[in-house]
Amino acid sequence: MSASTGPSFWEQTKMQGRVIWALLLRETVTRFGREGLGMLWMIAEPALFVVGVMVIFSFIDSGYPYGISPAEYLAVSYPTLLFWRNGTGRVTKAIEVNRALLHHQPIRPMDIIYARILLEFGSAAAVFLFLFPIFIIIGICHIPSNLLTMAIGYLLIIWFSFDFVLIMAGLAELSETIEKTSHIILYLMLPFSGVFIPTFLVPEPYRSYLLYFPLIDAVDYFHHGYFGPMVPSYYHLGYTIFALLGMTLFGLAISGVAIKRVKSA
Amino acid sequence: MLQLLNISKSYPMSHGQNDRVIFKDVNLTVQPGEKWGILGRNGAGKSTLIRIISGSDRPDSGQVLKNMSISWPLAFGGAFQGSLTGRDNAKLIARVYNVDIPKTIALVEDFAELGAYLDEPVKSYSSGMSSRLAFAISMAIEFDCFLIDEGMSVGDHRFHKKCDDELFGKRGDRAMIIVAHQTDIIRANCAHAAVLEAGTLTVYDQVDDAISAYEAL
Repeated sequence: MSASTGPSFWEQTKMQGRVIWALLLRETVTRFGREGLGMLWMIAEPALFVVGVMVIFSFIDSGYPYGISPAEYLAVSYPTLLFWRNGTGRVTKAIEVNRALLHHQPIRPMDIIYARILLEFGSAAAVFLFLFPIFIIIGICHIPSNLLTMAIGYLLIIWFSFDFVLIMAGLAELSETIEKTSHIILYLMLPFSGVFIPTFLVPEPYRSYLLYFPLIDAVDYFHHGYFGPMVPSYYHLGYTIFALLGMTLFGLAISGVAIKRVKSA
Repeated sequence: MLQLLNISKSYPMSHGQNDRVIFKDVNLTVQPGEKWGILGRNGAGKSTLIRIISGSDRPDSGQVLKNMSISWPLAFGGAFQGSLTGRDNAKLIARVYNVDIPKTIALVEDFAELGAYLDEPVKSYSSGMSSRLAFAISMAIEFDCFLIDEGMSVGDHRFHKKCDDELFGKRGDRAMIIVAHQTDIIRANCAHAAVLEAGTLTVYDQVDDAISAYEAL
């Protein structure tokens, strides 16, 4: 237990912001270096991944109705999984690896996690914002039907990913089994992510079951903003927000417990 | 003031079947400007105590009360990212502690005498070079209390003397906690001393008494 008297909440917040920013810059240089393409890899690497997946699936006749090509469907789906999948890979064991940083009083363990999440999410968002206009120009995608709905859907996906990554970070720190199997969990989640199997192809009652998973609702709302009313979308917005709120609380609690465990081991 | 109240710490052993008690009910009060030496044999728990004071470890029970800013363990290179250059590491620390970056870099350039190596990754440094970097960066930030681990003796004679001037000369008014198994650094710099042995921290009135008690172990 440690206690200190002094800084106000506002000063504390400012300090934490500064620390997270410092860690973010450090993480950026560590991962991308200053030589060669450097920071450009932050966008180039995931962009190559997205385009590669789109090219491969273009050869498969997926039989999407409503005149949707596989490339188009993936263009507005695949970039969403960069958030929760790559994010999870980044934060597992992040605190243990960076433990020596905790000798510095201003650095809290959560700052290390937040800095990594911020960098990964920044890269994932940059990729989409970079690729999407290009897809529109070359004709793979059309102009979004409702940009606001699409943006809200995107924010819901980011919110889900934040919660998911936080929960995985906590669980991986607490349980070696989770840490070792996190790749399997991430892989097996793919069918339940709205990325490869559109909800409109899933028969009832399974579709209703899927909608209990807030990521499906978030991705479908995002799709609704893009495709518009001509393509059926399924979501419960109120339920999704409620579920995400619950996940946020659980994520903060479990990563708090995990941090205590790391610091006392 | 820095106060340790009834600090206990143990680590799990044999896959959690046993606990190894490092120390039990340790109490210590460090007033501003006081120089404390803590003596102990290898494995007595000195480094664990330093980690608990710096806040990187949590005690099992007890409280650490801090009204002073406390440094990281001095000359401790472990807080660096090996793939980053010395310059980037200095920038990180300057940002974290909210001190002027160009001033910090200038100070580190002048003090650590790394020359062109400042722009090389820290993992390519010799141990003397990385402790010079670590020490120089610590001097860029003003602390009320310095934690000094025995690793201080690294570096050549000239650098050692520079560190002494900088720390015990220019910063002679600050509190210090020096943890060592060599007695000379403590005899030369401390007015208070304690011995950590078998899980107990014993505070002695005279530094010489602590040193004789330690040497009798």
